[in-house]
Amino acid sequence: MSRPLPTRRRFLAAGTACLGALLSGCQVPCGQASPQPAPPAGPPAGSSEATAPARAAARPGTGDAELDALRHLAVDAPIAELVQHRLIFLVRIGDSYRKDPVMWRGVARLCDTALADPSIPDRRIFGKLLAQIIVYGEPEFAQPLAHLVPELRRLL
Amino acid sequence: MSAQGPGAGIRVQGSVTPGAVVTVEVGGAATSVEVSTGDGTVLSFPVLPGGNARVRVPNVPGGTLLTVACGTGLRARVVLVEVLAP
Repeated sequence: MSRPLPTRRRFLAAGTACLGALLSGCQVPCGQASPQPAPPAGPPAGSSEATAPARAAARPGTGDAELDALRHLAVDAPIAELVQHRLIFLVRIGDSYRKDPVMWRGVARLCDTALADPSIPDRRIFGKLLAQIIVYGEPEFAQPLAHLVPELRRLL
Repeated sequence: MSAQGPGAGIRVQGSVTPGAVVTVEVGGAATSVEVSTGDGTVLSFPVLPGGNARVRVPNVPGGTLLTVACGTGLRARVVLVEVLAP
């Protein structure tokens, strides 16, 4: 059974601990075992992925669960996730959600990626499909991407 | 015709030209497959007992890509089919 420290010794011990914390920059309370590993660094402030949760929170749900999921892919999800689901994404914008402006932002992201990244699987066919979606798309939404069609069709 | 993309569970065999009929093999419990070109027209074909669907290729220009899909949501399975000129 431990004996309580005299008041003066307790004061010195507490002071030493707090001084140590200050010098080391530690922000955990004195006495905590060890700080948890820092979470992985997030995307830089101001990048599109850093603001994605804020955008998603600001965008009201549509009441259509599939459309909400596709919209998330279109503008909030990392580009790798959108590329992973690219085929069903393009099928749905071609047959179901032809006039959804958020979905068309996803098409623009896919175009940029197809043109910039030679490692995209089946890039030639992917470029052709994107071009076809733009050509057959609703002009109001597809027209701003029309200038990319020749380049998308030339992808190898 | 060539199949492209992550279409595990759905498979298209053979070469096609516009108007041809092809067999689509479908795994799982899908009851239909949907074929579209992206112009807003969707053709639906039932999956027959045994897991095959008989799909008639629409009359589209050579080089057109068809999407053949089954299922719903992000777990839908899709293959791309390139239609050859007749």
